[in-house]
Formats: sequence, structure tokens, C-alpha cells
Amino acid sequence: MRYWSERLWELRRYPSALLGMAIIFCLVGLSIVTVIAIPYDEALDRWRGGDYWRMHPRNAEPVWLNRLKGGNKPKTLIISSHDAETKSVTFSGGRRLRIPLHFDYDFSAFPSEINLFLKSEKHTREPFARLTWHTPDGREIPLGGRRITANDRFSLSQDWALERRLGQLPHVGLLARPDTDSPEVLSGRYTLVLDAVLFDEAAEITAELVVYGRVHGLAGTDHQRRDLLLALLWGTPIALAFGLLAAVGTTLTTLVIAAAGVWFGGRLDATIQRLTEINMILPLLPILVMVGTLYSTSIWLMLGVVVLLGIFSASAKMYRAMLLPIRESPYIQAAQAYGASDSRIILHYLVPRILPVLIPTFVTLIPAFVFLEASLAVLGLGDPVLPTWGKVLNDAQNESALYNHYYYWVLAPALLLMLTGLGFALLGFALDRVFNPRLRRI
Amino acid sequence: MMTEPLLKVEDLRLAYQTERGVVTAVDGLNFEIRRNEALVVLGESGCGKSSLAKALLRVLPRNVYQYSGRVLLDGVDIMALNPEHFRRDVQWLRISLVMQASMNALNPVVRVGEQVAEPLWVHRGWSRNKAMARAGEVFELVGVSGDFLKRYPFELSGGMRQRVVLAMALVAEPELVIMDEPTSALDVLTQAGIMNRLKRIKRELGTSFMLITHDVATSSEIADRIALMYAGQIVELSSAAQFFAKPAHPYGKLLMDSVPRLHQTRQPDHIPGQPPNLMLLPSGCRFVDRCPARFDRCDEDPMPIALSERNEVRCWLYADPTETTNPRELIKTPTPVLETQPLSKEVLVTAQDLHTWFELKQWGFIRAGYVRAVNGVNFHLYRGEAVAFVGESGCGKSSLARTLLGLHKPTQGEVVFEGRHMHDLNKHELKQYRARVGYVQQDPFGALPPFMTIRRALSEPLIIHGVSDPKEREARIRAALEEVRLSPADDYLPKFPHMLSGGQQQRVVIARSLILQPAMIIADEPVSMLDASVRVEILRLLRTIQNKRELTLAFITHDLSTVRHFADRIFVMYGGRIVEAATVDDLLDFPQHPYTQALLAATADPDAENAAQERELPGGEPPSLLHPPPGCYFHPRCPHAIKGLCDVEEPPELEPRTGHYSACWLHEEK
Amino acid sequence: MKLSQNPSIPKKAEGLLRDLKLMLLLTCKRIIALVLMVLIGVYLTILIANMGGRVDELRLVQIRSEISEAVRGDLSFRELDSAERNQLIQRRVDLEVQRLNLDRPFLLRSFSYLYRAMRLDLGRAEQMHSDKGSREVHAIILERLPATLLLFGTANLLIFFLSVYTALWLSRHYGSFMDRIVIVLAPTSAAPAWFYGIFLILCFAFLLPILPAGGMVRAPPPEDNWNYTLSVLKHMALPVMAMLLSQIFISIYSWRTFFLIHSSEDYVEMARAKGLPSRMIERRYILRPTLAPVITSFMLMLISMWSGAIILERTFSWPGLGTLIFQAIGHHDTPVIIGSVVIFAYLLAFSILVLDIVYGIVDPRVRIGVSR
Repeated sequence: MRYWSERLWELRRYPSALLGMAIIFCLVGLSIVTVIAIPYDEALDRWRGGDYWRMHPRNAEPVWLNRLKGGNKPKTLIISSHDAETKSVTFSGGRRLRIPLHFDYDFSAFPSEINLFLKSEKHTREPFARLTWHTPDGREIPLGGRRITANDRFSLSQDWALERRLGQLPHVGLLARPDTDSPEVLSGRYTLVLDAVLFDEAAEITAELVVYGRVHGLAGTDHQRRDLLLALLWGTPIALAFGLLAAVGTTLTTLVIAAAGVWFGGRLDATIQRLTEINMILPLLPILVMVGTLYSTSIWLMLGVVVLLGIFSASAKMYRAMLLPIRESPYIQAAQAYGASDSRIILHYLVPRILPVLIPTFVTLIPAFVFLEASLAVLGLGDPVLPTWGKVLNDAQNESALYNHYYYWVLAPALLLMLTGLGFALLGFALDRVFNPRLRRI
Repeated sequence: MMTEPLLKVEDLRLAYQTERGVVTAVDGLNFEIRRNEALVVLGESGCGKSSLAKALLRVLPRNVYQYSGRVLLDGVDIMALNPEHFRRDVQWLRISLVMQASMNALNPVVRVGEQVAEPLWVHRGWSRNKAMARAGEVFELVGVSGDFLKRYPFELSGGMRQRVVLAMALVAEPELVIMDEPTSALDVLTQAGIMNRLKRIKRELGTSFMLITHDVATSSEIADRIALMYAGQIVELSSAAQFFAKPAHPYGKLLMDSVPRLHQTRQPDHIPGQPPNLMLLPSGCRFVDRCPARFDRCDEDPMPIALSERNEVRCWLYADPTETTNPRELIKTPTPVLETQPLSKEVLVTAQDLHTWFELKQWGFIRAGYVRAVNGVNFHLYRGEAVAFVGESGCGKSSLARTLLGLHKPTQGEVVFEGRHMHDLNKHELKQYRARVGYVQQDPFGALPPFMTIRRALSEPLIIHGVSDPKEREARIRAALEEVRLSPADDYLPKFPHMLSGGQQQRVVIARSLILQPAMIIADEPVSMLDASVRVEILRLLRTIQNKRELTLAFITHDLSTVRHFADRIFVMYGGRIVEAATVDDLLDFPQHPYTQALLAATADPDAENAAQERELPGGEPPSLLHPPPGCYFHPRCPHAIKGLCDVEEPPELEPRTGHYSACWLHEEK
Repeated sequence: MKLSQNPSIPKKAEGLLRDLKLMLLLTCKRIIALVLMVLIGVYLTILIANMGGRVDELRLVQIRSEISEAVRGDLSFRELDSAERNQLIQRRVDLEVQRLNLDRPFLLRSFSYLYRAMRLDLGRAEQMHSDKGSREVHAIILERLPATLLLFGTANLLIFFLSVYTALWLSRHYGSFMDRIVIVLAPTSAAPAWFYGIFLILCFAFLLPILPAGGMVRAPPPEDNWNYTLSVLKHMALPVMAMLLSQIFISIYSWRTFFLIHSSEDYVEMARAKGLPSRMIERRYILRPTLAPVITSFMLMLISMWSGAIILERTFSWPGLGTLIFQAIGHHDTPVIIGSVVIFAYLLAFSILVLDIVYGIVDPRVRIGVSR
């Protein structure tokens, strides 16, 4: 034990190791917080997409990025009828409501979309609503009327008739200064007036006007309005778990098998050797692809295949080369001479001898597997339900994020991947210098 | 006539910067070597003698901290030359080097001939053919056939590789050849053969030599003069005759006393203590802690004091020229004589027609033949006796040890231990048998798991044999450490093997072998990797314990000189067989088998006379264990071989003297 | 008195002749071993692909749909009512199943698959076809192979030579500024090439549009050879750079360390003592004895790169094997995916063979064989 603590204490002399450890601690801390704050089921459920995200803009970039660039892109504005001064006039057989939805708009860019969500309750006959758009300069733009179902959504941006009338996309035209060549934002107070006729006394209507911005949160959103922060956060524990499990699975089994082969020699050793050689010509990634397409892309299946193919990997040969001279070393013969059993020799005498050399390899293996998982996801073989960094990258690629200048979409997961890789690699390299006796000599 | 020396070294210093501090390896050396003179630098491991060789040829590691002084070659300071100049004009053309552990001194992927010839085409600009032809000549000179020029190093035996390295050093006819432990890893006969070559080369070519060694006996083979090194300094510089007869420095005196000798009945002594740490050198005399003749003045750093022309010593005892003090009289070391028990007649182990063969495979599955490591061995070992198995490497002595330990299954024949046949033992009984036999190995550091503390390493056998009570284990561990005189035990228990000195490590190994209360201990070359001053100590310890516990000690060695005081009987092994067996005195004084005679002839007691004569040695190499020669295995090398008998029929075991057995046809004739 | 006798040694063919013979022997041995390895590897692939009869199911569905379409489309069967038609379809399906031996146990069929796979008869693609219109899987794959070989061959050789020579240079300048830079940058190799690819595309194709973001040649392809080559080179620049970025620092670092360790070997010190010029020491005493492990690590790098190819090509839309596999995933074109695995196995085996032979050439210990 003292050997280990002494070696680890030596690490403090390597700033790179300290940096690496700091990164790893941050990532582990982030994972713990994430897992506690957003339960697994909830994360999965949200990541499936859909209604949960309807108030989020599509492809919005992170707020801080916009700030950094000095831009003044709009945030998402949500104006609810609860806050509005509703005028209500009762008439026989119903009520007439006038709900003005005010908002102040002083951003330099147009919103990305405008939606109105209407909810009507406790009615027998569907209410009717008519919309009017009031601009700060006093113009009134009628937006037409319609019957409202229980859960209705007015998609102003997709109103083709309106688009034709304005000659521009609705969410541009409605907020643009009139009579300019290129659209320019007219800042000031806008009002959407909702005139509704309810044919039931008890009937209620609530409206939420969403003026979707172009920035959102810390991480931005994707094409399905999902907050990327969720995937980035949850990607951390998944990546770490996958990397760690795969690294443990492959190194430990490989080591024990190699040690057993070296110790017993003969047929067992020859079989292990041949298996390693065959394994060397089995291409890992294509086989994973094959398994992914033919069976399932579950991350756990992939983990299983990775470990299975990793057992007889080239490192088995490396361990064998390291263990062979140790097998002949006097202390093993001594152990044999005082009656140590085969399993004791393998586990207590052979394996501990090369553990120090193994630790750095093990640490540097973790990011390799993290990247492998990301690679699979980028190929479209990511786990179907889990939010991972690789899947974010895959979505970004599929949506041509770079071409569309959604750089944040690629950069955030890439940076996290890089950080993970660097953290473990920095630590691994320093560990190598501390633990590898051959490096200590130079 | 005062001749200008070939090499004159003045105040040479070399220090390294390491993680833990500055190591002063060479601390102000002054000496000279004349033409056709051989200077032997003698010292224990870690005294800085290898650094001296490297410093002279400027082969320095990256972490040099200090490198200064003057090295005059024919009056020209070569330290002052710029690197390129030094490389082109001095290296190899004037000074060459034979490195330690020359197993690795040859590039594994370049043919040996090319490696030998290389300096000629690099330095002399010779054509390849001319250089190769010259390399062939040098090969013959050192006794290697020119056929081997095109071989790769790994195709050569150890002895041949050493000769090739020697050839490489001689190829450009340098004026000075520096040799760093050129023979220490070799067998007795090979070693003596190479020393013979060196003597002849020195005589015929007039080359000067600087031989660096830790082995006193080897040093006497060639030395004209001796430089005794201790902790980075030369403590005594004198002629060989003077040194071997009457060393001046107390260290020299103690060192000479610690050498086990073949032909001396006095028991060797050991030097107590350890050399100082080269990082924290004490002020004053560096030997003071271990010196029995120390007095108050030793706190001051002694200066070299000239005793006569070219003889000097760094010791305050000689400070007053009027007073002729002889350290020999000052030092009074008690020489306790080991009391040996009379031989009991209770047989502990019997080996009957024991064979241990190993199958050699080709392509992984085709049998290519058998290595006959142990090839028909018979003996009895009695309870409480110490027996030495002597032979060169590859004679099967280690395989015999491992067969006795139950690590190899005998191919034929059997071992009977305490009346039980070993091959009848089941797994459980075999484990119990292993508790009855202790094992002490050659390399003490390797014999201890480097990742276990001493406590852990010693408790392992106990855990394995079911001593589950930690208190009992602790008590037994402490008792065992006490027995090997490592006390207080608390100083050693939490340490890792690498924190102990070689001698201490070997004591721990002995403690481990004793901890299960064995009836027999097998010690395989227990001291050959230790420093001369520690060897005797360990051997005495083993012998004492053996006597006290009435253990049977099977002591395996290649070195006949260590046997006399530490064994009762000797078995001489050759080619997997025992060729001669007798009590120690009888065998050493009246060797019967020609092989034993050759071994004895090759083993030297340190004596200045050794340098003058070449030893008579059998030629050739030990027999191949894969394809042994027919008849007597020794006949191809035997000077007395009888044609038609020795090369046809295996000799029977005969008894030329009472209780003295020898397997040789010569005795039959008588 | 005879001081020493030269032990008699069996006369063997000396020098070149012996080496040639031994090399031939080694090559034959390795080829046999590798063919066996490929055989087992491909068989394992077939086993994995068909675990649980998934492939069979897919094929059955495919056969059924093809036949029912044919039957429905055939005018002569118009009059049949649906029951009769279904019977007919079933009969035809059974016939086809028999013809393809799908009714026989998988174990038997697996060997016929193996035989076909070894002959590169990889079946017909379900959806995809080659540019020339062939639906043979091997035609599709072979059409893509040259592009992959071009890209990865170039990158690997570049990385290999660049890193070995830089490493040698650095081992001589231990502790210099460049040396420290390499040590600092080495951990960046934790990320794979495709990852750097994304950044490179971002930088050099979008932020600073000087190089194409993907593809292998400009569309439409230039007519004359010179411009064609130039265009390919331009398209290769980014992917090669990505591979270089992800591999070069770690390679230099590990080889530098390796050379440093080996430059304290006894025989190197001996060479220094012999006064050989430092270039000669580097070449003959450091590089040559260590070439074998250097080549091994190159081999391992090559293998990991072959695997990484898929994703790098996808990132750069390089029309090679990787992109093919990616497209096959999209189309769920099983025969193409399995075929690619087989081809990759062949490629890996071939890489190993080449390196084994090189190994034998550079290291006499391998050639002559040290018997332990």
C-alpha cells in the first residue's frame, strides 16, 4: 500500500497530472449532480422530445455565446393570458373576451418563430377567436380568426396566407419597420389582441403567445427544440460509465487471462495466443456496426461486444510479454517452493507485479472507449433512448450544423469529449512517468 | 630509469545528479599506468569503479553533475580535447573498452564481424574487406574461429561473446585497454581461459591494461599493480606483490581476509558494516565505521601517504613515517571456528537414478529432442550434513535443486524423502513436503516479491500452510528474523526489499526458508551475487543455522573456493551427472576425476605469482545437454581420454580412495 | 598445450543465401498462419452475423416479398383467387428456400458461406449498387477500396516516417524546447481523427474557406489528369491533416521515449565508446535494433486506423469503404455490411503479413529464430 501512496504522492510534481485530475473531478462531480438533479427516467422521457419542449426555440444558440459575440439576438418571450388584463363581456349564451397580450421587443434581430397556444376548457361548443396584431407605430394587422379546440396552436410563422400578405416570413414581417428594403426590427411595445367568443358561461380560455428567440440557455437547442444542456449533462455520466466499465472489463479480464496463460503455459497459452491473433484481424468498429444494424444499438450490448472483443486484444500479447520474464523470476519459484497454489500465484504474485505498469494504460484507455461510443453514435448507431454527446454530434451532422453555422451544436459536445479525453490522458501520461520504471530511468 | 607513464590521471572527479541528490561516484583520483603494465582497480560494487572506466572514455550518462580533472595520455591532456577531436583520435584507436555484462555489449542485429571491424573503417578509413580480414585475425587472437564473423551475437555462447567483445577492443591495436568486469558472469573454466588469453596478449603485443573487478582472485591473474577503491577514492595503490602479500590499508587487509581460499585451513572472515552512501559521504576517512583500527585522527580526511616509490595509502596509521605500524597487528578480529557436528547416519534424502529431461519443441508442437538436465544421479543425503554440489553453469545442478524441491517432475528414477517416495505424494502431501524443504536462491532481490513488505513476504508461507492466527504468524516471523540476525525486527518488517542491502535481502530469504521449520534447505548459489565482504557472512550464517537446527543443507555453487569451510561433502557435477563425490578435504586435496582436477587448476587463490603463468585448462565447451557425446561426457575435453573406451562406454562409479567416488575409466586401469 | 579449441559447428549456408532461405520459410509460415486466421475470423463474423438466425429471417422476408411481387405482377396469374395465389407464392418460396439451402441446418450452411466469403463471393446487395450499376457486393466494395487505400496509405506512411525521424532527432535533443512541446501535446492524441476532422472542417472549410469540406474530387471532376490529381490532393489535405493531428504527437512521444530508453543500452554505450559518429550510432545502434518494436507499434496504429477509417470517411464524405459502410447502415443493407467486415479482415491480415515480412527483414532474431 505504501508503494502506491508514495507513487501517487509523486504525482503532485506534475502539473499536467493535477490539471487532469481537476478535470476528472469536475466531470465526476457534474455527473453526480446531474444524476441527482435529473432522474434517469425523466431525462430519457424528455429526450424523447415532443410537447415538453414546445416553448423552446429551434436551433437557438447559447445565450452567453451571443453575448460574447456582442450580438443582441432575441430571447424567447412567453406572454400568458394570466398576466393580461382580460376584458370580459357577458351576453346571453356566452361571453365575449378581449385578451391583449403585450410584449416589449427591443432586440436587434427578428424572432425565429411565433406561436400562440390556446387552451379552452369546460365548453360544449368550441369557442371562436379572432386575432389582431398591434405594432408600436399603431398599425393593426388582422391575423384572421378560427374555432379553438381544447388544445390549440396558432402557428403564425406557418400561416402561408399571412406570409403572402406580408410579403415576408410572418415572424419577420410582423415585427419589421414598414417600407424598408431589407427588413429591420421596429422596437417597441407589440400587442396581440385576442377577441374570443365563448358559447358557454363556464368556459375558460387561456392563451400563451410565444415569441421564440434565437438564443436559449447555456447550451442552446437543437432542431427538435430540445435543450442541449440535457444531453450535455446526461452525456457525462453515460460517457464516464461506458469508458470506465469498458476499460475495467477489458483490462482486468485480459490481464487475468494473460496471466493464467503465462502461468499454465502449454495448450492454454497457445490457445490464448491464437485467439489474440485471430482477434487482431477482426475489425472492431465494423463488427460493432454489424451488431448494431443487425441486432440492437443498445449501449449495453455495445459494451458487451467491446469487452468481449477486447479480452483477446493486442494488449494480451503485451501483458504476456511482460509476464513471461516475471514467471521465471526467483520469487515465483520461491512461492512455488513454499507451496503456493496456482491461483494464488496468478492473483497474488503475477498480476500485482505488472499492475503499476497497467494503471496508466488503464487510465488512457477510458477516453478511448468514450470516443468509441461517440464514434458509434456519430455513425447513427448510438443508443436509441440515451442522450449522449455522440448523439448530439450525430444530430448536428444530420442537420448540417456546420453548413448552417450552428457551430455551438458541434462545439459543445466536442469540447466535452475533448475535455474528457484530455483529463484522462494527462493523468495517464503522468502516471506512466511515475509508475513505469523504464521511464523513471531516463 | 624513470619512464613517462602512458596514462596519468590527476584529480579526476565525476558526480551524477539524481532525483534524490548528487552522487559522487569518482572523487579525486590520481594514478598512472605505464606501458605494458596492468593496473587492477579493485573494489566492491558501488565504489565508483565502473564510473571510472566511463569517465576515462567519456561515455557519460545525461545526468552528469561534475566531470573534471586531467587525464594525460602520453603527456597530452585528453580531457581538454573537444568532443569531435577526442572521438576521432583517442577513442578506440588509443584507448578501448571491454564493458561489464558484455552479454548486452553487442548489437543484437548486426553481425559480430562487422561490429568488430567497424572502428577500422570509421577511424582508419579502411575498406570493408580489409577491415573484415583484420577482424578475422583478431578473432583468432582471442580464440574464436573466423567462421563466426558472419554470425549474430545471439548465435554465440556467453564465453564466445565475451571473446568477441575482447576482439573488438583489440582490433585497432590501442595502447590501453580498459576492462570492466570482463569475466564476472562467466564460468570458472571460461574465465580462466580468457585470463590466459589476456596474459598472452599482454606479453606479445605489449598492450597496457586497466582491469576493473570486484573479485580479488581474478585481479591477481594479471595485475602488475593494484588500486584499491573504496567509496569513490583510491585508498591504496601498490604493486601486486606488495598488495597480495601485505596490504597496507585496513580495508585491503580485511578484504584479503574475507576471500575464501582453496588451500588454506583458516576460515575467512567478513567485513562488518556497509560502505557509505555516495550521496552523503562522511567527512574524514570513509572507512572509519567499519575499521577495527580506527582512532581519533580518523575524523580528518586522510591524504595519500607515500610508503615507497609508487606505493601510497590513504590512512592515518601511516602518517608518522618514524613509527612503522602494521595494521595487521592492530586489527584483532576474533576468528570463531565453526563447530561442525559429527555426521549422523540417518538418511534424509535418497536420489535413485534420477533423470530430469525437458522436452524441446519446434514450431510449437514438433518434438525436437530432450534437454537432459539431470541425467542419472544417485546419492544419499544424511540428516544434519551440509553437501555442496559443484559444477559449471549448465551442468544440471540447478535443475537437480528444482527436482529435489518438487518443482520439476523427474522423468525417470525417484527421490525418497524421509522414507517416502516423492512421486507417490498427492497434492496435499506435496504441499506438506514443500514445507519440509526450504529454498534459498541466488538473486536475493529477485527472490522477494518487490511489491510486498518484508512482513508480508514472510507471512506468505505461513498463510499458505494454514497459520491463520495473526499473532502466531507475527511471533514466528520475529523469531525467524532474530535467527538470521536481523534485529530489531521492527526496523525491517515494514520495509520493501529494495530498501535493504543485498546481504540483508539474503537474510530475509533465509528467514523465509526457515519459517516453516524445514528438515532440509536447498541453497542455489546463495552468495554468488553478493559482494565479497558479505559472502562469508551469509555462508557462515547458513552453516551456523544448519548446525544448530541439524538441518540438511544442499549447497549449490560453481565456486570451489567457497566450499571448504561450508560443506562436509562435495558432489562434482558435469553434463547432468555426478562425476566425483567425496568429503571436502579429501576431494580438494586429492581430486581424482580429470574434470575436478581442471576445475581446481582454474580456481585461483589470490597471489601475485598468478600473473606470471598461464593455467593449464581443458579446451572446448561444456557438453550439449541436447546431444551429449557418447561415452564419458568429459572425453572430448579430457587430456587423458582413452581412445576406444572413454568415447564409447560410460564410465562406472569407482572408488579410487576410501569413501571417495569418481566416475572415470582411469581408476579402473590402476 | 592448446589454449582453446574452436568448437565444431555445423556448416550452414552463410550470409545472404541463408537469409533468403530463412525469409522464404518465414513468409510461407506466416501466410499459412494468416490464411488460417482469416478463415477463423471470417467464420466468427458469419457466426456473429447469424446469431439467432437474424440474417436468415431477413433473407426469408426478402425472398417472400420478391416472389409475391413477381406473382402479383405476372398477368398470367391474374385469374387466381387470393388463396390459390398465396399457395403459389408459398410453393415458390419453399422452392427458393430449398435452392438456397435455407432449410438445412445453419452449421452446414455456415461452411458454404465461409467458402463463398473466402472467395470474395459476398452475395448481392439488397439496396445498393456500384457506380457501374452492379449489385454484386464485392464489386461495390472493390470500387471503393482504392479511395480508402489512397487516403490511409498516404496518412500512415506520412505519420510513420515523420514521427520516427522526429523522435530520433528529439532523443538527441532531450529536454529541448521542442521536446517539451511534444510532451505537452502528447495527451491531445486521446481524441480520434474524425474528431479533429470536425474542427478542421469548421476552420478551413467554413470559417476560412480555403479547402473543400468533403468529397474526393471536385464536381464535376476535372478533365485532365493534372487538375484531377490536384483536386484530389486538395480534398485529401484535411483528412490527412486530421489523422496527422490525432496520431503524430503520441507517436513522436512514445518513440522518443522508446529511443531514449534504448540509447542507454550497453551496446549503444559501447558504440559511443568506440567513437562512432552520432549519426551512425543513431541508425545502426538505436534505430536498427529497435525497428521490430517500432514496426509492431506501427502495425497496431495501422489496425486502429483501419477501424477509424469508417468514421473519418463519413466526416469528410470520402467515398471509400467507411462511407460505404455508413451508407449500408442507412439502407440496412446487410450483405454489404457483412461483406465490408470480411474485406476489413482481409485488409488487416494483409497489413499484418506485410509487416511480418518487414519484421523478418529488419530483425535477424525473428528470421533465424531464437530457440528458448
